[in-house]
Amino acid sequence: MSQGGQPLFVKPTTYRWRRRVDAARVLPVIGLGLLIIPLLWGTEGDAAVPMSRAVIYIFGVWAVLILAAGLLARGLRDQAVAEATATEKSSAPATDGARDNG
Amino acid sequence: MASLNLLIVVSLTYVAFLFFIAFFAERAALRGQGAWLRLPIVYTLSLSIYCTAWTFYGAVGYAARSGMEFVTIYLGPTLVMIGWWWVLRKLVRVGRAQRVTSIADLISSRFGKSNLLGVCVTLLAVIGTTPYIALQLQSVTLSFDAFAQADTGQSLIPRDKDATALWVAAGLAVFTVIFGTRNLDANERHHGVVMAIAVEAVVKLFALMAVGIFVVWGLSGGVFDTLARIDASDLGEWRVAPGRWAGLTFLSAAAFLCLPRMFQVLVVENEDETHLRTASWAFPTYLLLMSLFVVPIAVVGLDLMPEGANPDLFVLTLPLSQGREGLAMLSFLGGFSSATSMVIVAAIALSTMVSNHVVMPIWLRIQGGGASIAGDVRHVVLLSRRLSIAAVLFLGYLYYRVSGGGEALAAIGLVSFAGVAQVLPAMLGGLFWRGATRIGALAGLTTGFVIWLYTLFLPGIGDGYAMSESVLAQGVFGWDWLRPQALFGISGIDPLVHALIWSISLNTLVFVLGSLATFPSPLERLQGAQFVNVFQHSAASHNWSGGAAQSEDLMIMAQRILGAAQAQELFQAEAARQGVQGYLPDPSPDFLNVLERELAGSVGAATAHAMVGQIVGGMSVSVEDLMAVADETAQMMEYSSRLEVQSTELTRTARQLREANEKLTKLSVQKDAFLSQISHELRTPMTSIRAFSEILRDSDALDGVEQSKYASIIHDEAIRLTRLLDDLLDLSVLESGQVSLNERPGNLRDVLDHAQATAQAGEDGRSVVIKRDGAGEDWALYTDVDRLAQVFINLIANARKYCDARAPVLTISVSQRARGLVVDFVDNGSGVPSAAQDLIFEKFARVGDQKAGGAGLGLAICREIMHRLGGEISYLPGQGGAAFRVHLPTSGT
Repeated sequence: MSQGGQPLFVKPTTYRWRRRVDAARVLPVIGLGLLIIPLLWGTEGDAAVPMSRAVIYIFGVWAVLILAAGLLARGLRDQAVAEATATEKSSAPATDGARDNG
Repeated sequence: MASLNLLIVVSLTYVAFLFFIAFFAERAALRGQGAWLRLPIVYTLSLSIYCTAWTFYGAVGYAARSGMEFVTIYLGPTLVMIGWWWVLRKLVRVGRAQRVTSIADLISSRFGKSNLLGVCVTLLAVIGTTPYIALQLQSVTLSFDAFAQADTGQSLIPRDKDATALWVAAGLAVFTVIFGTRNLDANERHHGVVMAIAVEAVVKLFALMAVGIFVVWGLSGGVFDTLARIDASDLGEWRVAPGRWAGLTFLSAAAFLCLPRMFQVLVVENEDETHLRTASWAFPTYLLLMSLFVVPIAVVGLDLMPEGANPDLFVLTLPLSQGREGLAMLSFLGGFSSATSMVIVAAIALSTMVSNHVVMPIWLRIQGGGASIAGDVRHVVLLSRRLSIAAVLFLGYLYYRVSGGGEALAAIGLVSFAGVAQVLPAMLGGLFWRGATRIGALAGLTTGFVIWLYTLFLPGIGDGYAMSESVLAQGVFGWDWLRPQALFGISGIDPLVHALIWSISLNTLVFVLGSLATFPSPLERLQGAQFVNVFQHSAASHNWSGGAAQSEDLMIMAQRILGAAQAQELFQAEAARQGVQGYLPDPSPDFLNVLERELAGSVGAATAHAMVGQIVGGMSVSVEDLMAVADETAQMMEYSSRLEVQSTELTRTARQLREANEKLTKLSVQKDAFLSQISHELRTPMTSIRAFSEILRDSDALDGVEQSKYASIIHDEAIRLTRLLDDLLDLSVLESGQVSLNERPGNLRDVLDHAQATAQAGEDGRSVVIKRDGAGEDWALYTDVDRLAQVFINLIANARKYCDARAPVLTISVSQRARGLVVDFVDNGSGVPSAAQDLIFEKFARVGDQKAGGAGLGLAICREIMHRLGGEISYLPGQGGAAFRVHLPTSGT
């Protein structure tokens, strides 16, 4: 199903670029999931989580997210690939927007 | 003890330093030397205005009261930043492509440049931001007061909190006016302001970390001791309410995108889209560092400070109480930086919105006659911005005075967040959904705004100040289901989360339903397509129909807004591009778009649109616009039709190739067949020549008759061989193009007579009746008559040889066609089978298995001859027999 004339398969560089973009999109979702976890922690009596552990967990997750974002930012700086991808998209107008007839 | 006077001196020095930095940056930018101004790190640091004094001081207080909940305020923005590919990338691209000047401008521009929406967002922003500015003034005065209380000596200024707040507000107004309204085009950016903010960002981070390090290593004895101390304190357990945790994370993320000041630094001041990539990890790092020491400071502060001390000021009072004046002063500067940078940017953002969406439209209406009438618009815009800045700061001061400061103000931060977050549905909807309409956005925004006012803002200010106790307890008009903090009878939710859930969800619902139910105007649809598909076509395609526009009027207007030099440059460049002499280009739709975009940078999209509209004559949406809306559909159709053409072409080419291939295969078969044929042809006469010459040589008993008979056989066979070789030679000469034509005048009838005579004379046996067309043959020719005769002879001979009718008749007819003379040779035989028709003119081609002698070279030679003579010979199918058409080129007749 080569939709709208877009190639079904792309060059390895473009392919890698798109997967990095996917990763950049997924990262905040992962982050949200990790930061929602504290909602499951108990707050009463023995089940209560010590503050020090909470601090370490939250700042740990935070640091990991920053690290991942930093690595992705490095991976997403290849402007040439970005432009190539962009022209690929613009040369095939039947992308997301086109289905929506405003 | 800390000297208040020293503090004043240090503060003033610091302010002077900031002025210097801003001034230096402005000058460097003006001279084009400011490469360092455009570093991604400067962009990242400028984002730090998110961390206001509320963060700097308030976070510790927040942590002291509610534990880890404070961190949600930073987690939301962190998620937005690391998810930049989703929203921020698009937001920044749209902001740059549309030259958006503020968040009100973005919303207004997206929904058909509607000024009503712009006004609504402006109003919301002013109401949401004013208390926040008041909060900053309060924090500066409080921190100042903390020093004042510690110092009992004489001071340079009166110790009046209100006076301090007024002085700070006035100073900030001066700074903002000087560096915030220096240039008009918001897209030229405020380098001075951004640089000063970046410096302040470093100062506040450094200050907070210094205090934190002092607390952890100086007062608590290292990381592990600090952690143990935290666990042992009142904050020792995780006690965050799940609803607030999730709600506040969402709220801070939404506010990060919607706060006018954040929009200003994120989008408007953005120099380069790629800076966002660096900021995506660098800004979360900044936030992490800002909040890293909050809990330790809170815990140690609760521990060491006397009962009842304001935890909001621990960052300042803790070092003071430990006798660390230098550190305390640094901390004061950090808090001061946080407050001032926020106020400056917020004032710039708000003043742009107020000026573009409120003051300018009113001014334009008062002027009535449009932008081309007398008056310096540029001056008016600048003045209105300056007045707006002063007004915004004065409002903040007023709010501070009226609310009386204190704890109530501290709670306003989140209330303010919830207010501006009401823009989120319209903003995201506008960016990602082409179906979002102006009516929907307006309805959603109003709904959210009203609910926020009713459930959060009014109950929040003062105790019963804006909303009476009875309304709070029983709902308005005593309707129970309208209780502000328990809408629809659902009680027991945290008031903030309650307000957030109802306002945002109903806002979104009304926005979506409103959009679904209404139909957007053409301009809305146009802008919608440009916003949502910004990555597909960043170039604008919204066109002015500029027929009636007067270039000179446009020039006059542009000069007033952009300044004479810049406007002239713009017009001249455009004139040069159009190939027109002088300064006045034709008001082409393209040019009008460029101009409108330039003006939008100064006065906002809605105003710019209105101004150009007034001159151009109100034709805001033209046929071209509508076609641009249909652009994508057209593109798609064009694309698919192009594909179709390509595929038909491919099919055609494939068919041609297939035909060529078939022909080649047939030719190859023919050639093989001929080779064996020619060998046979050569071999047969050779065999008889050899046999008869052997007889002549070996047998003595031959009489003269026999000898003569055998010798004549040998002779005949040798002639046959010679003729075959002659034909081959003739053909190769013709094909190689080395033949020299002997062109001379002649008559077609003579040539035919000659050919008929020759063909019929030679051989005996079969004869053919030739029907000719006497009078029609009388045509003068100028050609190689002998060669032409050769063709005719061949054709007549062929008819004689191959016509299989009982009484062969060959009809030769001559007719004149547009391209010349046509001579048809049609016999009454069975003709050439269609499969063989395209092969008969090839060399060595022989039709059927008739043993008629000949090597199959005749027609090939004919074709070559006709080719040389400039005519052609072809087989004419469907004539009831073999039919050949000889086409003679028009001669000089």
